[in-house]
Amino acid sequence: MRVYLYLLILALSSSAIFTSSASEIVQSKGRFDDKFRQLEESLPTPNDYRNAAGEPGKEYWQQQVDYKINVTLDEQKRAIQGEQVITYHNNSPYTLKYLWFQLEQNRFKPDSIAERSSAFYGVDGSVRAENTYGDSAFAKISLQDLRRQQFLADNNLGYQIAAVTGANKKPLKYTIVGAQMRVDLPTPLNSKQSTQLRINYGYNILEEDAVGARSGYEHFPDDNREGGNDIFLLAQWFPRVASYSDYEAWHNKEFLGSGEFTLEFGNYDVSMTVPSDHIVAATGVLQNSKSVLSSEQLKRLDSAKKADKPVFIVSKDEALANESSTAKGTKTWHFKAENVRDFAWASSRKFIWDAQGYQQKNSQNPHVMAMSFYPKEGGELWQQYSTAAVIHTLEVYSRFTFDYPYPAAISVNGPVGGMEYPMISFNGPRTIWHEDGSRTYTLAEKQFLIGVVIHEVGHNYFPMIVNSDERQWTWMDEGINSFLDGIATREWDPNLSWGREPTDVIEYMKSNVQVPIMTQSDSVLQLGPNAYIKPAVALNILREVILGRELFDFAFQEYSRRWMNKRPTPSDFFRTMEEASGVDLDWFFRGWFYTTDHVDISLDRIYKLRLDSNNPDIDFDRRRQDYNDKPMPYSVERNQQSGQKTWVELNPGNTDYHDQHDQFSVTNKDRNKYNKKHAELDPWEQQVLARALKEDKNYYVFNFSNLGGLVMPILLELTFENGDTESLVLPAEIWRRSPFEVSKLIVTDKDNVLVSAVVDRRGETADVDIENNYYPRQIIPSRIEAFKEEERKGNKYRDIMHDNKEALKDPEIKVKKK
Amino acid sequence: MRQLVLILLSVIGLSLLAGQAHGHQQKEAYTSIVFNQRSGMLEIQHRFYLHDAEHAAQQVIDSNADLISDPVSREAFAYYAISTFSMQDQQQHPLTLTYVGTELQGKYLWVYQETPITTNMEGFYLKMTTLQELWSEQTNHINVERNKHVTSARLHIADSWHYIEVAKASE
Repeated sequence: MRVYLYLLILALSSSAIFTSSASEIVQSKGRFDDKFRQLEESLPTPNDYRNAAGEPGKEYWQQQVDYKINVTLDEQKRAIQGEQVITYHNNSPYTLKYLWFQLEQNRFKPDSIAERSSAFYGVDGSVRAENTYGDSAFAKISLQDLRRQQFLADNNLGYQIAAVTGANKKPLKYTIVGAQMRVDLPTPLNSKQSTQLRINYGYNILEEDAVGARSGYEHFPDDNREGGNDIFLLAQWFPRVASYSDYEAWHNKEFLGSGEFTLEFGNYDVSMTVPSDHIVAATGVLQNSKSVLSSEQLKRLDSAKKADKPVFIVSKDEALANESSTAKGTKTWHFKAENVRDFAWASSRKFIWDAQGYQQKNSQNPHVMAMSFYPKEGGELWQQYSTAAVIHTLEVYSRFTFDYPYPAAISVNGPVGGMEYPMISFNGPRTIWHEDGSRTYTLAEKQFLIGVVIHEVGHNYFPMIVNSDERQWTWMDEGINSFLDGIATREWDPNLSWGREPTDVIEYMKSNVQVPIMTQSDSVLQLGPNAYIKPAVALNILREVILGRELFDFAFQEYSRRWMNKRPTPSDFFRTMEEASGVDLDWFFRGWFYTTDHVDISLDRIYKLRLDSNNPDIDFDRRRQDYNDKPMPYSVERNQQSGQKTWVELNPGNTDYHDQHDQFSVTNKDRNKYNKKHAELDPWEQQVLARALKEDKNYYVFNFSNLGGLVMPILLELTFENGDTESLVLPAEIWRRSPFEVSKLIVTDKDNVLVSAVVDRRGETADVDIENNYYPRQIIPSRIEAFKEEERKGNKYRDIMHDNKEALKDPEIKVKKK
Repeated sequence: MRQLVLILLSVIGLSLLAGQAHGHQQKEAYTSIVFNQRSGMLEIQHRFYLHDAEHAAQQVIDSNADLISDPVSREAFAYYAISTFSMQDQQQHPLTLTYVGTELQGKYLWVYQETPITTNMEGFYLKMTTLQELWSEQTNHINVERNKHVTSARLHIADSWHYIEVAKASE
């Protein structure tokens, strides 16, 4: 089955060489790897902006950028025209001669770095130069890629900057550098001063389905309206001032598509002029509701504030009627948002709109409006779960961090699978249309909607409020947010298949194609496992295994609150988690975030020691016992079984001293020797020995090896002869001086005779090989062997949705005759 | 072929597929090819995100495909998956893989295949286009594991037969 178009492309080979930055400190002799080397060596030096505790320093500063934007959405041309007035507050101690802007729309120009540098082959250069035979000489391109190429070729994309002027409307010199722009200020902007400038701009909106841009329009040709309808999702829709920070100065890392955004906080005043029959959802609070909403809608909105379930502001039927609207003219929707790092919005006449107030008890922000906007294609799935999931997210995340500080939290359905902005998120899951006009959704889609809404709304906390640098450190928002969405989905329903569990990363972590978490976003090979799942699992392990919930939750909340509405870096996270938990976690962050090691701890051997008392009356008896316990050789046993008598048995009268006293008999010479030695012991030595002999404990030596490289605590479970079990955690520090093999003496009471032991029985540490965790070894069936053994049956596997479609029938009764 | 092209056109017409990595369609599958010396079998375990698999099934099999509720849809997806995965030996002779079954586990759909271990399995040619014909960002990650040594490949849409060396049996 071949469903590609084949294009003849020259196959190039490429290879990736992974190097890590060389350390100043080198182990130049012997095989030793210091897994516990101070993390401070790798972190930036603390200073007055960010201190050694990981909190904002005494001179911490950040810039503020306020925007007043008037923008018009031209539905016909699918274009944006905007005028913005930017007020830039220079809170830094430095003087700025120019401002840099991010022009993300330029990333879609054919000559952008992103387009020109997008490689055709993956990083491991799968098509090799020697593969020139058969169809190997051909490479493939998908229709979807062709669609993208065609859209980019057919449309004039990127910003058209019409004018950049100062407050006095005099033109300013500006220089566009790819997806960035430098605007030279007429006079240098001193510390603690502000300046204003204006930009008039426009751009053609991308078709999200064709290009994939985290925003854009989606066309619905089948709607009952000439020309159909569109949903517009607008993000990265205005030239934004680049970040200027204490650790990077201007953040001149151009948008390449993967690394998301690094932004400043500010206040927004935005007026959007859209077709008069559109409904607009946006970051912030609607300022002119009386002029854009009907009195009925206003009434419903008011009743939604205290409702205990979502209230329709625009119902399904009303939205359906709007779909065929031919209304002319425009309306201007006016929104304001305070102290946000970005602004996004959505506009369509297709939107159903529901809302429900979320009351934050004992909070400075007691009331939040949770809302969802979705077309009929989202349907009942959205009606049931979107706004409910928004509220659940706020409840759970606020408990771990801080009260949600914004007036609104919105989930919008459109062409974007999932993307986050302050107060507003775009989420993709939808229903399935059937020929009879009905719509249904599968359990998988339901789970996905709940999961994705929680994830995207959760991003309000990370990175919208805890404003990390997404462009460089994706894990700081995606990883931390995935960790929390795992908690929130488990609290929704533990059967919701979303939570981030250690088993999720095993295949990834044991693979030899990966990069450390601490890798810049645009260089990461696999963003999903690298920036979402691995850090989320690492934090889960830190919480459940290493620190425990109390210490972790305290430290994590401390991090969130320290950096609320501020800009943390990785070092601030690492330092805060250590400083607030009081636990040295250098080894943990180094192993999980700075290396590509995996966890594979093997319990190689256990052997038992017995205390030698040196007392011949004790030891000789024990040795006799050991001797007698040895199995009898077959040659002797079978002689006995055949009834054969030995010479000794046949000659009972012929005995001597040695027949009365075996080789383990104690002599007075032995006793005298022991008594002399014992008498020479110090009194404390005699006491210790006496007690040890009395207690007669079991001494076991456990040999472990660290095959994966990543040091972790050893979670031991011991099982004793009497059926008791005991759990024992050996802290990761056991590997400190011996990172590859280590032994541990474990002493148990006389009655606790060990029969077996297992490391990490519950699979909490992402250990990639379970078989070597058991001593004695157990046969662990492979996945396929287990599958073959166990018929997957039971209620869970019944096809209830399908089977229930069958109509009830009267049983056919065969006529029975004799 | 005409039929297939039509399927593909309808596929790209659907809106949900164009999200990016952040869009939470994971667009990544993991396949483990493991030498099970105990059973003498080479075990092939494909792990797909259920949600990705269901979207795929709704396009290549039936728009109503429901992988949690309907075992028939699951089997159909499994057959689609194994039809888009192939292995050759070092001489580029195809290896016959036996379909073992499919099962759901949490957020994953697993598809199993196997073939007896033979001598000279020191390397394989692999090809896996599963889901790539639906969304071009799909990456199929393959781990080949013998005696705990793992060699990996990440197959992208542009890739054809990929040769992967197997860790030495004696290691």
